[in-house]
Amino acid sequence: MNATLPARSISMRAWPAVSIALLLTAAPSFANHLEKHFPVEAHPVVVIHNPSGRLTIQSWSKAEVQVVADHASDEIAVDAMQKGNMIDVRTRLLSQSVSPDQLRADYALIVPQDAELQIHNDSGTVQVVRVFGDTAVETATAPVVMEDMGGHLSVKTIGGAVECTRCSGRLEVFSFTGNLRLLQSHNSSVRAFTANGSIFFDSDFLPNGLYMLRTFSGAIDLLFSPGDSFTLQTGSLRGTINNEARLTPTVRAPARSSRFASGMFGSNSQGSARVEVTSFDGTINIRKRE
Amino acid sequence: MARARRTETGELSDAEILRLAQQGDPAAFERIYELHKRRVYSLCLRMVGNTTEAEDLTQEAFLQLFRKIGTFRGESAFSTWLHRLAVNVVLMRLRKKTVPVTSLDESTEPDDEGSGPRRDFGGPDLRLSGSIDRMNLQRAMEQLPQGYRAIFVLHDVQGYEHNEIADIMECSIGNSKSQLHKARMRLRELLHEAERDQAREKRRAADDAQD
Amino acid sequence: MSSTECARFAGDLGNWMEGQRSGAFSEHLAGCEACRGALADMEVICAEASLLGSETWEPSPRVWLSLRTQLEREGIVRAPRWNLRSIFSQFPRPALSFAYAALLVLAAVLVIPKANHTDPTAWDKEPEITSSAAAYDKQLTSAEGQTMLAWSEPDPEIAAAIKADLSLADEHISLCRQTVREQPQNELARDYLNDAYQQKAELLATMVERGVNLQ
Repeated sequence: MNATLPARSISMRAWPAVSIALLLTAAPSFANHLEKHFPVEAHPVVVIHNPSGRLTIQSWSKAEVQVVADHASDEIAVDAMQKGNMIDVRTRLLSQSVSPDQLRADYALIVPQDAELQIHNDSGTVQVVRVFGDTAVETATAPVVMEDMGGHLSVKTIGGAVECTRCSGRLEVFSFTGNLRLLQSHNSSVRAFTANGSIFFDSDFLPNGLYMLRTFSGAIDLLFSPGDSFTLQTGSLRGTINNEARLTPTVRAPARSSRFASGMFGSNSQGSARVEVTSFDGTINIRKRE
Repeated sequence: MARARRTETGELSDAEILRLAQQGDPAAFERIYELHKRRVYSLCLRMVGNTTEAEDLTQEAFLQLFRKIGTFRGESAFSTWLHRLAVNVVLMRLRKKTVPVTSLDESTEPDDEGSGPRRDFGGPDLRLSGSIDRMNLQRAMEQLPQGYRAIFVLHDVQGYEHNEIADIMECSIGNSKSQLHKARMRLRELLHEAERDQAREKRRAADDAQD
Repeated sequence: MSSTECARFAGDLGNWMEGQRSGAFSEHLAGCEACRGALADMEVICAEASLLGSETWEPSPRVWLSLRTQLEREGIVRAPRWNLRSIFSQFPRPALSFAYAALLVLAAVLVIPKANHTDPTAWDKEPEITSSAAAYDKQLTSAEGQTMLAWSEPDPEIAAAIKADLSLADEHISLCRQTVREQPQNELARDYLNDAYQQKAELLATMVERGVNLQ
């Protein structure tokens, strides 16, 4: 994906889109602008701490990290520093009483594909595309969008929604109230939890893969094709389970010790992958793809 | 969990896999199964001649193995221990059926029939043809008494030594050798019968063709 | 040669196949077509049998699946267990204060006693569960009090989300405790109670860390 790089200037200027396809909404103009380039070696670590704002990260083939930051307020500053093979990008408060509007800083980073990312972006939006090192994202209310990612992906939010599309590797997602969507992905392992949000899973089941989806009250929709090979265990303490999979054997877990005592268990096709779907009182729908 | 020791190829050693399995590690169990499943299943299949039953026996053998894996102390080779379990599982299953299982604790004295070669008076060639049809051999094996079949399968088919078989079957080495010889002699008789039957069929077919 | 004489060498025939050669049998063989025939036959049988041995078969995948299920049911194999800690541990936090450190310890060791598959009386230990849960409640309440005193969140939207989630966490804990009381043998119920406590502890730890990061 080609990026249109902004001019190197910190003077007031309109913010051009780094990539039209990446940005979720049109960018406002900012008074303060920073652009820095850092040469790095293989597997650099990029750490971002930003209380509020839009964060987009994409990758390129250069051994370089590019940081572009814009903010309107003079109550904050943005710092980008290199320590060895680590790039630290941080929004710093310049006074104690900063209003939420003044906290906002938007970042656009381009990193090597094998970069490891550690992202803390509380509100605003987070979008990461095509990075294959490990990625850990923590937000408060910011939704997280990841596309074509790989490696060990960990996402924790309080209320943000999380969407992963065409991702591979291991995925772990936690949200208190955000909805989780896992689309067209090829993860070898998925652990996803949302207390009050919903989970929508429409991805592949890899041989010997492990897929654990859990909610407290939110609904879980899991789509499968008849040829998919998985062993399914579902359980709900007070909710309902609607199952369209022809499971063999269709056995109610007999052991009173089993945590699936109130659910169902069985294999679809060869039963290679392991799928566990549980909800406290939400509805679980195991649906056949159209 | 402590870092497991690996061989130069990066794979876990058998000892490490076993140790992990004894700690309940699911991946270690699976690895043990993958390493030994073909041999155990093939052994069961040759012993019972039926795929469904062989699969059940394979599952039962591994189940017993994994139930007892914590007690394995390395007194014998792990594979020997496993195959002993498998053979015992098969023999137990067969004992529950009506087919009598020949006891292996038999005297090494020759029985009345003798274990020497029979003299087919007036018979054609006393030897089998240069090569045996594999299907005939397998059919003949199925007709062996279970104890003979077990020893023959373990020694001549699977390649176990007599000391290993003695361990597995809990008999003496002498018994193992003696029973193997009897198994081979019985197989020879069965194969001779099969060849004679086939020759008879060929002659009959030729006669019918001429008519 | 008479069959009686062949019978005399019956044992030697078997030994010969094991590689033990006796002179007397060797002489007998030279003059006995029947024994030579038997020996040749057995060599052919052995050769064909060893070829059989190279042929192995693969059991169908259902064998492993059934086996794995049975092993998990018997508790011999540790089935992959759900644990929120595996997600939270991806976000290491510095120990910032006593209350914060206490929260981390609480989140790390907060485990309602799990079902013991080998102890048939384990299912009747509901009072133990209740007393464990009560102990955790007390620690969490104390940690929550300390956190709320020190907490200040400049973003009202985030503050509202956190407060709402704290209430939600309390509600979940209450529902889960009730369910465990009703179904003490139900492992899923115990799992959810564990999760509910961990969520609350994690939320409190997040609040503490946010306060530090925003300074």
